[in-house]
Amino acid sequence: MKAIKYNKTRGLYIEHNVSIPKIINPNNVIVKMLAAGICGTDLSISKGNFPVPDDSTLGHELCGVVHKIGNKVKNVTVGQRVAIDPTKGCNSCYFCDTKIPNMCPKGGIIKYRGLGLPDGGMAQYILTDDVDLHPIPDDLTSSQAVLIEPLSCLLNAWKISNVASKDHSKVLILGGGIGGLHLLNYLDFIEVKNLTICQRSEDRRKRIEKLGYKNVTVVSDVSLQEEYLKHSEDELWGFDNIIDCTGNPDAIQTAYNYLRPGGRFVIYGCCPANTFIKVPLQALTFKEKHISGSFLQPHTYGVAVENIVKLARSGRLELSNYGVQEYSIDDYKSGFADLNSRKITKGILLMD
Amino acid sequence: MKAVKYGSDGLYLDRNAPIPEFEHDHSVIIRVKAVGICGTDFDIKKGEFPVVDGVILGHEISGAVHKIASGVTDFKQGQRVAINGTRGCTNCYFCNVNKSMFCSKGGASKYYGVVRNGGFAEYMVVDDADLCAIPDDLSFQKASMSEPMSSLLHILDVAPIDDKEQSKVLIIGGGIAGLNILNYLNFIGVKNITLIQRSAHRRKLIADMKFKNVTVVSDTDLHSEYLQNSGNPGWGFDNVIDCSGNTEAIANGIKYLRPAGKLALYGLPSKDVSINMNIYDLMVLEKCITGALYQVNNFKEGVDVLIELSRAGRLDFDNYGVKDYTLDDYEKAFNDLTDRKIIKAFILPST
Repeated sequence: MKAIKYNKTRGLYIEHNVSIPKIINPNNVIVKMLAAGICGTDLSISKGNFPVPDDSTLGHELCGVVHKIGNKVKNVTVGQRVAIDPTKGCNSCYFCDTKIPNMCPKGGIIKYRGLGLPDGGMAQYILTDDVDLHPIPDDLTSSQAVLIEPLSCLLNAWKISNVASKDHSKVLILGGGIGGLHLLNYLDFIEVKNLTICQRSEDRRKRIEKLGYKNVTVVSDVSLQEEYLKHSEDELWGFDNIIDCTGNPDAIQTAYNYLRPGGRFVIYGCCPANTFIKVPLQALTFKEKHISGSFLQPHTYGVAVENIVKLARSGRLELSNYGVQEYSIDDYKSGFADLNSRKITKGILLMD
Repeated sequence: MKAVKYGSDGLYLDRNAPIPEFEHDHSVIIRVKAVGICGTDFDIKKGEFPVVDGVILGHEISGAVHKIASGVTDFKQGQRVAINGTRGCTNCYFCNVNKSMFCSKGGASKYYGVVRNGGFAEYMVVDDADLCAIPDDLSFQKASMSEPMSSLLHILDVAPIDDKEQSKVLIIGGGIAGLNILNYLNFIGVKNITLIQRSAHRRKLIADMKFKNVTVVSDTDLHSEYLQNSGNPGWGFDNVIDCSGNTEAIANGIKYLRPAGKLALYGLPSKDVSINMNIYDLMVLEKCITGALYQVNNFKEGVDVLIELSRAGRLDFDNYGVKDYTLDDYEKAFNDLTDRKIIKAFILPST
C-alpha cells in the first residue's frame, strides 16, 4: 500500500510498497483510510523542525472506514465510517490516573498516532484498537471529520484556559490560520460573547470577516498594539484569556502585555524548539497572570466528534470558507507546498 | 496615638498620629491587639513594594472592637476580631470571577497597611464587613495570621493540588511563609512534600519539627537530583510553590516541574527582573506558571483553618523563634527578623 513518510535524509516521501497491516490481537481493527489532514505540525515535521521516528508514516487527523475487525470488537462494524483518536496512555501512571494521558511519559507524544511510534493515517490502511474509533454519521463528510482531531486539541486548550464567564470575559485568539479559525468558529458557536481575533495579513483578515461572525472583532497585530499603547494607563483594558494559535514567539511576547489582571495565556500553537519569551516577574505576581502550555489532547476527542457534527449541521463547516483544500494522496507534495506558502489553511489528503 | 508609617526616607514612628474617626455609618474603630510583620513589609521598607506615602503599615491584623458607628449591628464593643485587608465589592467583573483583589472599589485598592492605614497603630478604622469574629481560645497573635493563611488558601485555588496522595509538591523557601504552607499541606494530608531551604540551620529546625511525609533538602542537592534525572520524564513536581521571590529559584522552579506541573509565585519577585521562559518546553509539557496575589473572598475560610490548626496544636512555632514587640520596639523587630534571630514577629500596639 501507499504511505507518506518522513526521514531525516530523504525528507518527506511516498512509499509504495508498505505492507498492509494485519490484525494482531482480538481488539484490533484495520481501517481503510479515507481522509487525512495536513497539520502545521506535519509541515514542521517535513522541514525537520519537529522530531519524529525515522520512516514513520505521518497523519494524525483521520477519517476512515472499518475494513476488518478482531473477534472481540463490539463497538464498530465493517463498512462503518469512523474518526480515529490518536491519543494513547499507559493506563497505569499518575498522568493517566489524573486523566491527562497526553502527558503520560510512555504515552503522550510517543504513542500519538502519526506523531510518534504508531503509523499515521496518510496511508491506505492503518491498524487501530477498537477504543480508538468513533463512528460518524452519514451526513458528515470525511473531510469534515478530519477537523475532529484539531478541535479535540483546541478543546484541551480551552479547558486549560478556564474562562470565567462566556458572557463577560474578553477572549483574544492570536492567529487566523486553521487553528485560530477553528477555535473562533467553535467559541462563537458556543456563544462566547467577547471574541477578538488578531491576524497579521489582510487577506486572511478578509476571509474571517467574510465568515460574518456577530460577536467577533477582527484586528491586525499593528492595530492591536496601537490599542494597547493608547490604553497603557487603563487597568481594565486587555483580555482575560489569550490563546496563541500562531506558534510565533514574537507574537506571544507582544501579546503577553495584553493580559488584564487575573488573565490567562495559553500557548497552543507550536513554537520551534529553543525559543524563549521574556517574562517580567513582578507583573506576573501583581497582576496574577497565568501562563500555561497546551499540547495534544486528553481524550477530548469524543466531545470533539459531537461538536464537529453540530457545527457541520449548523452550516458552520463549509471547508472552502476556511481555506481548506483537498488533494489526492499522490499529490501530497502540492498539499504541503500550498500550506507552506499559506495559499491554504489546511490540506486534506484523500485516499480514494 | 503612636503609629509606624512609611516615608520616602524609610519607616518611622509617629507619636502624634490622629486617632481615626468613623468614615461612614458602617465604620468600626478597632483597638489593635496584634499585627504580624510580613516579608512584604520588608519589601515596602526597601521601596520595592509600592505603598501610599505616609501610610500606617501592618496588614496582618487582629484586635478588639473599640467603637461602632450607627449602622453596625453584627459586632459589639470588646468583640475579638481578625481584619480582612482586601475585601472586594462582590459586584464587579473581577469580584464575580473570583479575582476580587483587582476590584476597583476594594481588593488591592483598599489594602490596609498598603493603601489605607493599617495595624501598626494603637487604633485603626475599618468597615464592619471587613471583620471576622474570632473565638476566645485563638490568641490575637495567631488570629493575625488569618491574612497569610487566606492568601495561602488562594494559592491552592490558582494552582490546585490535584491529588493529595499522588501529587508531588515542592515548596521553595523555609521562612515563615514556606513553613505555614508546609504545616497546612501536611495537616490536610498531602503525602509527598519536599521543601528547599538553603541554610543548614533552618533545615535542621524544620527537620526537628518532625513532619511526616516531608523531605527537606538544600537547593544544591535538589538541583543535582534534577540534573541526574534529566532523562526521566516522570521526575519532578506537580506543584511548585515559590516562597522565596528569588529569580534563580523561580527559573529553577520551572525546570523542576514535571508534565502539567504548576508553579505558583507566592513570594514577591524583585522589581525589574524578567526570566527567559522556554515556550516550546512550556507547551509540550503543559507547564503552568501563575502569580498568586493576596486572597479572594476566602478570608473567613482562612480564619476557620487557623482555628482548626490551633486547636489541633499545629500552630506553635514558639520553639523556632516567635516574639512579641511593642510599637516602640518596631525597629528591633525588623532587625531580629533580618538577623534571623526569629522566624516571626508580632507587634502588640496595645502594650
